Amino acid sequence: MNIKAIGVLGWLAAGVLASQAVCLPARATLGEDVATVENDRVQMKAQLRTTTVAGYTVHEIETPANTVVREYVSASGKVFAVSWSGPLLPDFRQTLGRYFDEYNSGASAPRVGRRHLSIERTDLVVNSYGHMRAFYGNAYVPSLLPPNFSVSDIQ
Amino acid sequence: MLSVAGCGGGGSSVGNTTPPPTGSNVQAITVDSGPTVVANSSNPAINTLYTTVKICVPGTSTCQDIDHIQIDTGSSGLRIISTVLTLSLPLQKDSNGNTVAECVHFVDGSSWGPLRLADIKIADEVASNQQVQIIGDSAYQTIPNDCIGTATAENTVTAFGANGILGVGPFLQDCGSSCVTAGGAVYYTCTSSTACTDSGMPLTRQLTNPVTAFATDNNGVIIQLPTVNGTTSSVSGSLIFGIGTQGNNGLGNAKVFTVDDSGSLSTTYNNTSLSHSFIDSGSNAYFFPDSTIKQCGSKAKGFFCPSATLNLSATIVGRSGTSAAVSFSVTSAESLLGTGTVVAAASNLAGSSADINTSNGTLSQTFDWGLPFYFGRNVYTAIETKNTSAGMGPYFAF
Repeated sequence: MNIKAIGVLGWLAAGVLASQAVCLPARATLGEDVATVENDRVQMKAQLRTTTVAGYTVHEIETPANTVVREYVSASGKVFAVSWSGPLLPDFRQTLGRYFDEYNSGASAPRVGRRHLSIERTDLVVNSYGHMRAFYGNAYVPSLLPPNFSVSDIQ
Repeated sequence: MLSVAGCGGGGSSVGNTTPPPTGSNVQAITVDSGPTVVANSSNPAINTLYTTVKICVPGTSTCQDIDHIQIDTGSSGLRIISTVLTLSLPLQKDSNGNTVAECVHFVDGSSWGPLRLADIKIADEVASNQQVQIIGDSAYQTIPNDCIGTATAENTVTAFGANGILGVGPFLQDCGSSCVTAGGAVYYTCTSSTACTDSGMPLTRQLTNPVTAFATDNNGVIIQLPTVNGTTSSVSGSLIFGIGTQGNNGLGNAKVFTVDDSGSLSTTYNNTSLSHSFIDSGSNAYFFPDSTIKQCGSKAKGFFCPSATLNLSATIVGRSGTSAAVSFSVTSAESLLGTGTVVAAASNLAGSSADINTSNGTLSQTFDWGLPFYFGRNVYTAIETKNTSAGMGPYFAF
């Protein structure tokens, strides 16, 4: 297990990370419990680092291909947002979990934009941009956003 | 010459900046509504640049011209949708004799299919025995689960918006070092057409920018398009191969903007440095973060709909520090596209690369200089490791 805890905003004790690491639920991620972060890490064969900001925690997972996936977890333990940046897209079945079908439905609908994706539904917002070798984006569930959380905090 | 002038409705015009170049390295290019099935759909192409590519069974004169291949400086390599292909092309094999398939990631979808081999002929240039991805290949209909997970499938002409794509970006291969080891759900080796496994792929077997395989004029490309004022139904221009290799492709007064190993440079907009910016003929608008510009409704989700045209400016900054201010305008996407006439090119089309609900601040560090940036300019793309009179690629110049 290769967990490194670095970051600028705050720290979770290593013991907390370790206690998460023993949970391996079968499901992930957006809209799910914090324990699924570790499942994502395993699925993505990735490294994890965690930072805590007022009211929520950011779990940063870096895949072997250097794509960074950040999972935003509320104080109540729900993953309410994810973001990604890196040379390859992440596995959205893994990161979006139960919202993957809705993402697919939104992404396959007729649209004006090319090489750019905006999906805005009642319970899922997705923004995806960039180009080959440099992908960026984020997805969140509006109803799960913590109080006082601004979507501009998703990086 | 520019017979398209005046074709568009709603006060449109196409300006002529320079006479069309001629030469063995010049390929005609067009912005129009796309292949028939796309043009006639509810979602015709907007600001999409196309050309016709000839492909041949390697070493033979058995060839096919395929129209409406999108020209993309944001990717590398030639990909063709299988349903428009009539040739039978041999499969690419890896060092173990297995076939190779790819799940290519684009921002808005992923496309699945094997790599086959073909001679690629564009203008008078020839790239012999090159890999071509055949998207939606009828022999490879079993899409691996981890490919399905990367993005929405774009395996048909309608979903892809083109009969194929010609990636002439600043890199030798499409994926590069990120795909040399397995795990990225991009390259696959197949022991049969239905048994493909995520695998690392050496650079030499990855899909290659075909320009680099030309005998000459192989260090980059120039895209030359006339000015578009407003909207129009079609635009004609030139794709010129080589930079400083012929009398017709010198850099002239163009400034060089180097890019990093992911193809990115910076853009300063509203006093904010957007460090993941890029120039991309495959994006069909300017996309940048500005939460003060009104968003469109559901008809043009993600685009800007200001009540009056905005005249804006941003500064492109190359990784080596070269900078240039660029002026551009943004007109309501709903008014640009809702004229009732055919609109294939719209110079003022722009959208948000930030979160669409953002009310304070922005998420994005991206300014995507899409095809409207190319209107009225000569935009040079120099390929990595290739020498030019202004130094080695990768860079863009304009």
